[in-house]
Amino acid sequence: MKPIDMKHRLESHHWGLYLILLLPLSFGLLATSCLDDDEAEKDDSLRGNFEAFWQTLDEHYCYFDEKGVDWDGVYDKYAPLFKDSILTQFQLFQVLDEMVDTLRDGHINVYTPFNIARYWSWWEDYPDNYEDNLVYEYYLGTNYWYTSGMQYGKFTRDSIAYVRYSSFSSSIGESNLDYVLALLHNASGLILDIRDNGGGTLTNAVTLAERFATEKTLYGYIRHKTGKGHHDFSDPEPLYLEPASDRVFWDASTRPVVILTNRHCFSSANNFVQLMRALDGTMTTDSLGIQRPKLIKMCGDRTGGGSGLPFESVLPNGWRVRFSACPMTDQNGASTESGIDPSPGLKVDMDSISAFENHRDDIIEAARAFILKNTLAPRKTEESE
Amino acid sequence: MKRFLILALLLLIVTAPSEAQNELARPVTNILSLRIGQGKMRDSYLAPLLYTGANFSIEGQRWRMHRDLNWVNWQQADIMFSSGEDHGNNSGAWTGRLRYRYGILWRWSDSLDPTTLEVRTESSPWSFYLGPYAGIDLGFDYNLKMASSNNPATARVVGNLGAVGAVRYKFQNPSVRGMRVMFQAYAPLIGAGFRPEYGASYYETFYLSTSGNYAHFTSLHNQQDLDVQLTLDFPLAIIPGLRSFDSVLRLGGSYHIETMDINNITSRYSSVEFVIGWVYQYLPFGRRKVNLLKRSPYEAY
Repeated sequence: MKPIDMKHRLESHHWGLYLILLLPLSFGLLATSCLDDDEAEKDDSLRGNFEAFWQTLDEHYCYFDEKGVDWDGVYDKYAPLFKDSILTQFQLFQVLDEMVDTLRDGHINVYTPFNIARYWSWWEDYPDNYEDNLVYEYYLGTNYWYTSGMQYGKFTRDSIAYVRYSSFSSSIGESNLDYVLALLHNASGLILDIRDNGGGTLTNAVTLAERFATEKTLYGYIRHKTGKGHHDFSDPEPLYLEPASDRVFWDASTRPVVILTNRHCFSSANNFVQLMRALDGTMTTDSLGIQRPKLIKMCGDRTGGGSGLPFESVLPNGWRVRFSACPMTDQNGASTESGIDPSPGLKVDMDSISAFENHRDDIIEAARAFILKNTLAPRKTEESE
Repeated sequence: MKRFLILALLLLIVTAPSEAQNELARPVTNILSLRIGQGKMRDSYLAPLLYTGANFSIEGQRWRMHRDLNWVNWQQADIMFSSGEDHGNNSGAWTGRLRYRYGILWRWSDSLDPTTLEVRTESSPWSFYLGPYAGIDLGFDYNLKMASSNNPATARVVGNLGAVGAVRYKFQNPSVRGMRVMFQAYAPLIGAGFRPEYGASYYETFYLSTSGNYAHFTSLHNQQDLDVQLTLDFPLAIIPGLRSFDSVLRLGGSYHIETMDINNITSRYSSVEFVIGWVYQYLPFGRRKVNLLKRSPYEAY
């Protein structure tokens, strides 16, 4: 048998071996040059971070038109400073902080290791209209019940229920809500105090508002950006409240609800007011088939706004940026970004210091008066309790 | 329940060994690999930054030859995790993928006699494989710095039809007999996938379930993926002192890149990895007594 000439065979196939080794190299180089994106390593200089911040908002921020902001003009104003004036990260921060101010939006922040750029004029320039100590010392007392971030009880004087909910970041459990509403069900009305509530999770606002709905109710619209242009938005998507089935609900047609608001009510708290306002006047049908309109009113000061759902991004230097990205409107298509006014006749301002000295929260008192005037629940007096 | 039982019975019938005891088993080769390297991720839905870091994958491949020896069933699955940081080490991101592909490859080789399955003297050490595959990719990109935001992560769900090809060179020198070099590449051509809208929040996508533009047809115009792998398989027995070992070791490198441009969102992910693996035969249940012939562990490819 003729021996196989392996040496010759190997040599004759050397071209193939080279080919097999060159193939992946070629593929890799081709793919890297065509598809890879290493240049996405953003410029981490002071100027680079300024550019990244401006571009991020330029492509994603949703209220340029509504607020009438000339964002290109903002760029033209600050970009030249980076030639020789801006030399430290603290100066960069100051520039970004000023840029944030031009947008007049409480949802815009730049989080740095040493400070947070913010716009707070939406509440700083207005009366506080809330005094914590006054509520706890003279209204709620120390014996209140407390669950899911809600502090609640009934005023013994007139059997009006009072619920204090200070943050929509506190998760609301369905069964917690069942207990709260069931325990307060024989009250003549409900005061829902969300003053100083700076927002949190929107789903908590929806969960709470659904306990006052008896039918599917349109409460607003939401849109989002579909591209980088300032006018690139999706069609408005309707938002509905659905009644919480098989859950304890509050009949606002017989026991009025008054929501206490001030300028600190922002973001989800602002959205909650929008939700509840949409329910005001909708009909409730009782067991006898009689229809009555719900009475859900806002009392106190205009809310702080913040109706845009915020997005986040990161600058090359690691600073986190937050900004409004998805604008929401009420059921009539009107923006609530700048806040929601209290119901007619229920605009009340209060000086916190004199209120505490007089042991009287004017906003709570106005809400009480409204409930006592409009309740259909059996009146309970102090003597009957 | 009844439907499930019928379905299970049908599956059993379909997958049960059909060869008689005297028939030849179809060669099956499995490869289990560990891949370690570097990954790079960028997803403009999250942040415009590139995140670079360690990449870790476990991959399984299965090559199963048809009876006519011209076709090979090819399956590949891998699970990957990558943890990266941006250029200035200021923020981090995680990437995860779970992928599965099933392909049917046409095989060009003269190393096996098509009638007897005998390994015959080869006139060429080459084998070429080419065919279509169907696959599904599941995954996520998650930005650690934006964990509490309305856009902390993106999901990747893509079903693809693509092409897979491979070239194998088998060394003929008796001193390194059994050693082979393999180059594989596969890329999707068309498919369908999920992509969030440019500025759509999680609240809209998952809570409100609003009618967004989420499902997309994909092809080379908006998705360019490529996987290449160059490996060297060698029996440990060719190493002096390890003659008694019958395991086959795989060493090599792999390069993977995937890009997607949908809804004005650009995402990139790429990795370069070192591959170490184990090549082994797998005999389906019920075929252990089949005459397997005297063949190397690689007949399936």
